[in-house]
Amino acid sequence: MTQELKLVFAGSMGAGKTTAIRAISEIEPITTEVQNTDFVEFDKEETTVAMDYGELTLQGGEKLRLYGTPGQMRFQFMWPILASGALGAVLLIDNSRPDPLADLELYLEAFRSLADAGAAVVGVGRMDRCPQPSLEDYAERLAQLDIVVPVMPADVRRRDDVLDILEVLFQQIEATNDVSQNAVSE
Amino acid sequence: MVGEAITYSLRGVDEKEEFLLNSMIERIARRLDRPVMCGPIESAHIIFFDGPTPERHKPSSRLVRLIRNGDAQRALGTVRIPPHVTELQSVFSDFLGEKSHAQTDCSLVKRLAGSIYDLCKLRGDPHALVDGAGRGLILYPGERQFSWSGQEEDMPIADFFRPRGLLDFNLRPLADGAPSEIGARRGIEPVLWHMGLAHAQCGLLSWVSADNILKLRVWPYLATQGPRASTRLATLLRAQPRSVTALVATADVPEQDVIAFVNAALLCGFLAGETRSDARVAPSPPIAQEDMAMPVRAAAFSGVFGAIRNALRMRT
Repeated sequence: MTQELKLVFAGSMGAGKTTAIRAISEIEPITTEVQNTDFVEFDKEETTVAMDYGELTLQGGEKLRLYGTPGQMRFQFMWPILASGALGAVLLIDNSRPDPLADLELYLEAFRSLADAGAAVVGVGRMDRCPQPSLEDYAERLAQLDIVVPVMPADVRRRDDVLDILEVLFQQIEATNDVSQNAVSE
Repeated sequence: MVGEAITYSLRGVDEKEEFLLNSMIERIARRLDRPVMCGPIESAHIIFFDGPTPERHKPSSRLVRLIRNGDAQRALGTVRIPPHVTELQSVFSDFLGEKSHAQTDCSLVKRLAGSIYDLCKLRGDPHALVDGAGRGLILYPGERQFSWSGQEEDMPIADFFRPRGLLDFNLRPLADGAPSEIGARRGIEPVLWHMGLAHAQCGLLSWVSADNILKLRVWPYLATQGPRASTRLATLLRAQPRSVTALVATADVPEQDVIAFVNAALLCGFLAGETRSDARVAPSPPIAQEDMAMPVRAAAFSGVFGAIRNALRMRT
């Protein structure tokens, strides 16, 4: 029987979720983009209203499913549905947004159980154009929230940056699993 | 005060040569300020040998090749057989000289790191950190900031510490005629991070032992500035507080890299010491009941990440 394996890409509108999925999906991502009518929230022609979907075939035929959550707040109810049963989550923050640290808090709150279990990583985009807040500011805010989660700069247009994020995510999940398994065997 | 004994070992010599060498070394030892003893190769500071190069059980052991052809040109790090007193003497005096130099340097380095750590912890007054070439940083521990001083162009902090590690630096209160501040103030963490890395040549910070349990408090966002295994070490510590000894055993990373990472992360405050009883408490925060399936599920898929890495042709 083929089991479902999935990764979730979450983040604000325009943070690059569709781009990140496109960087690693073996199929052209299936997107549900429509004309953006929310120009107050974000100045972008099209946006994802339901989700993005990509996939990757693993050895043995298993599929890794890649889901991108809708960025608009009115679709927030879909986030836990997409996150349910996920191996991990990549939280993409757009540093050019008005308050990226508030975005960070919002997404960490939504994906807190994954973050606490060591199965989430934060990628900060557009730091070249908007260097503030700095990674130090992110680290400080995370410390205030009492969450230790990897935070790293990422330009998701570059496939290597997406792979770097995933590598940190995988290393974290593996390290956490090793500890859990050792605890069970003891 | 008599210091720690210098131990030596002999390999590939016959009985007569052994007797000669031992007798001469015993006489040389009378003029040294440290006792000298013949001992097993595993613990020897100096290993005299002929034939195949013996394995060094201590990385700091010195190997001295014995040259049997009396006419041969003696190379650095060799001693002729039959032994010459002056050659043997220079082996021991060089060893003592270097050891004493190294100890002096490391004590300076440890003191400097300790002073800066205390300044930051106590939010002390501004200080100037100036190197032998007159280049300097101005540290504002109260604000956890720094800036460049004097005429020095802004440059990567790593280059500031690279030439001689932490040697030749002078830390003094800013009021004592220190050069004026130039450039914008920035967060002090990169200075502390690179100081920690440079300190690795002298081992762990003086207030930490290899058995102290360390907990990751903040993700080390400077990890990309080295050492290479920093991210892996951080993920291991994120999963569970560990000692340096345990980290070396688990991570399969050179001890020197682990020490460098730990020093840097401790100075920055990314890591903190933890008591053993704290470390025995659950390694991860509690997971909500509805999410309980998630880690179990991930454990069941152990090996899946290797498959994903293969599919994406990721370099691990």
